[in-house]
Amino acid sequence: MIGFAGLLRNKKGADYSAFLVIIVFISVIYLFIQLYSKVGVFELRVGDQELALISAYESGDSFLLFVDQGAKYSVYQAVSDIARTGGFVFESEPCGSVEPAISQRILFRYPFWFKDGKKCYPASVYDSFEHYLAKNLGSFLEKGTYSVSSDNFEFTVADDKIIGVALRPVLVPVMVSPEKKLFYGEVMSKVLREFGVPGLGVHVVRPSFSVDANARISDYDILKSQVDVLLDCVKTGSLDACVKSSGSDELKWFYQQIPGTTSFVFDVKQAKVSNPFSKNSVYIRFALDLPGVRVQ
Amino acid sequence: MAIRTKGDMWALNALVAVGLIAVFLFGFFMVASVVLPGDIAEIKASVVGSSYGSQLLNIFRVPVRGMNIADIVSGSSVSGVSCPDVSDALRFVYGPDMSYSLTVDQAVLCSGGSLKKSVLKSEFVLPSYDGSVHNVSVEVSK
Repeated sequence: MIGFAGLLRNKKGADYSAFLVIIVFISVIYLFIQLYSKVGVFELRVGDQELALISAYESGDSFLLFVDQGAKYSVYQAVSDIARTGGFVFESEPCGSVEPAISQRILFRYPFWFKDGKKCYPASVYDSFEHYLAKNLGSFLEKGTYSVSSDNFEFTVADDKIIGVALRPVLVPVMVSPEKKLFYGEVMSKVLREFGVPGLGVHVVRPSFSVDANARISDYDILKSQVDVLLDCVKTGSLDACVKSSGSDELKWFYQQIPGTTSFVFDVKQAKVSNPFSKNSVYIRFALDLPGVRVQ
Repeated sequence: MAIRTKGDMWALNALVAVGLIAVFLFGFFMVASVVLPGDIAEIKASVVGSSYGSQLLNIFRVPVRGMNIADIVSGSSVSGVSCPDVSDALRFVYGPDMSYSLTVDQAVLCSGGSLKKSVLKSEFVLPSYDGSVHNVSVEVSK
């Protein structure tokens, strides 16, 4: 029997263990050096491409939200704009307009719908609405992340819904590395804009929108027919009585005569149009030149 | 157990060797995880964070009394959308114990709780009714 001290003095087992440990230690060091030397070979880290894809998707998604919000505000603003200009595009009134000083400071512009015995109704209120919608939307889009012009949209206007279909998509580059980001930022985005060709490394977004808003453009057709009735009515009756009979629940009439003239300016309230962002009511403005008409 | 034979001594040596090897391997992986690339945890956090960040964006589409949360940048007096609406929408998705911060043009508009280190963050641009455009940042942590 060998004692414990005797066993420890026996070098055979200890040599084997030490040899094994040293071999493993050297192997691990070698493995580490080998792995570390490969670091510079890879341009991208694991997951960089996936991250770039998700980032591009998020960027496109945030732009869609931007366009949706901008379109919604533009629609409500266009409803007010078109009412302010009596259904015309600004300064395109065939019979001119009048700007009476309603108060000390405020000048309102009223386009003539009837002057010198001639009716000058707005021919296409829908076109005017689209003009203002495009203008308002354009002012938002020029401040957006991606370059899109308002003429990139084809509008469909219904009374309760306004749809804008994007004709060309927006191309969001997938920026994998800082070098590529720089490259895309400086050169590639210009190329994409010029040619607009979707391809590899590009996330394609079509910023179409649909806004549920009660624009009630058809109110203008109703109003035109009411003005027709009024023009017939004032041939025999007083303007005051005719205005009272012309109004309806949807369209409430208010008027005043421009002092020293035969012109009357009208503010017709669109009772069923509401703008949730501006608590103000929407009034359609127009003027009628009615010489020889009895007011009361 | 007493060491009585050469076999016992071999076994003890083998045990010590295996232990040392285990320590070396553990050290190797520890150093490698710090020094070598492929920091999976970090990348996973980035990818998952970005993915959830996209969800965060969609909260701004949540309808509130005929509007949506994104209308908050137009001002609560204009849109009627206020901080409790944002808080409710975020709590509905991330749970009642979440903390959040909504920043518009570097100014904190709404916040609740105290944000922790690991946050979901989303940054984007939103218009407001007056025609201006704002940089929005929203952060959520649990």
